[in-house]
Amino acid sequence: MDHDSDLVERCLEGGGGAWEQLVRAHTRLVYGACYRFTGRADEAHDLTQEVFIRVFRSLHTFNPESGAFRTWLIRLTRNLLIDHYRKNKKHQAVDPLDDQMYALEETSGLGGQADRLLRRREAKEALQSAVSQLSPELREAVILRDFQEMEYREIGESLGIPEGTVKSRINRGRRELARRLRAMGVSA
Amino acid sequence: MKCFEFSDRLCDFLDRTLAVEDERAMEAHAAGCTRCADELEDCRLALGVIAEAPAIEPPPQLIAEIIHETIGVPSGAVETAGGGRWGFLGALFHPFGQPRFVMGMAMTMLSFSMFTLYGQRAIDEWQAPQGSPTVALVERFSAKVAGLWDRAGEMTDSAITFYEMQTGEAAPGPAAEPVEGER
Repeated sequence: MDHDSDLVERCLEGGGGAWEQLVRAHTRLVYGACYRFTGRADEAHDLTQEVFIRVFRSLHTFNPESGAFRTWLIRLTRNLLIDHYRKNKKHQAVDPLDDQMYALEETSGLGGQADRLLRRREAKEALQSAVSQLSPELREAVILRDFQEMEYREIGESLGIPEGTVKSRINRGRRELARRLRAMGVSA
Repeated sequence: MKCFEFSDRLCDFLDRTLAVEDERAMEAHAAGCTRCADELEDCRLALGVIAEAPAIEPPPQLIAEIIHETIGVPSGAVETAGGGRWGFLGALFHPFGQPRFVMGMAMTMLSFSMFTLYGQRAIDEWQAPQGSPTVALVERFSAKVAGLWDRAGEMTDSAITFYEMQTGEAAPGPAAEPVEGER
């Protein structure tokens, strides 16, 4: 039995300390995925809390024989993120990239002001903006692999898709990301 | 190598997990195929930018909040309160041993004590006809109130002592002083 499964078992036996260890071990993973997916710290904070509350309530349903705790946790996180995405889809503003492209076209005739504007843009914000504009299925694959550094097999198990499909989505996600980054004037 | 094979192996190529001869085949294919070379370049650009991105750290208070939301005790306290042989039962009753709760209880008891003290004085000052059943009832009630007042004072002292043991500080506020004087 792996360490996480052992902690889960101790939690179910009433060990509050084991639960704290589980939370400490995985908060970074869950928060990182939520932040990269939503692009907002406040939403990531609330979603991470919600994930762990759900995990705590459904801990008794975790079966170590059907996969690792981390995989189960990511699956729960992913389901919550997709629910969140669907709920907020209609409230999302106009594609920010379109706005930026429009602003660039407006300023491109003003003696290279657009270039200076782009150089000042923080790469962090540009990257987050580009990630947020990927479709959910490409976004989750890129986040889990490139930001959370999970194995292809683990991602496949979490998302319920074959490893080949994981790689294909990652390739497509990276290409789409590169296209959007270029459009924002970001280069490696 | 076909283009679809190139795409299939692209992740492994970028991870540097392919065999040397497969890597060479990929490089040779990219050199002669514009579409696949573009795909490779796009992926490298995305990975390059991601590699420079700072790591995302959760807010420091988040773990404590999660622990509090789930098992209702402050982070760190669970090791002693919930991790022992008492398990979640210990965690459940842990809040009752917290200094804030104890002080709250002490203040409540003091409030009741003050109420009963002034209630007793009001009864003492009340002049009733001697020998009537009402007077006997009032006297009995007065004696009960006096006993209750003494017990409340003792409980308040115990609570304050417990608070001081928990925190290592003298109990703040008016709870410590007027009790003795009033009694």
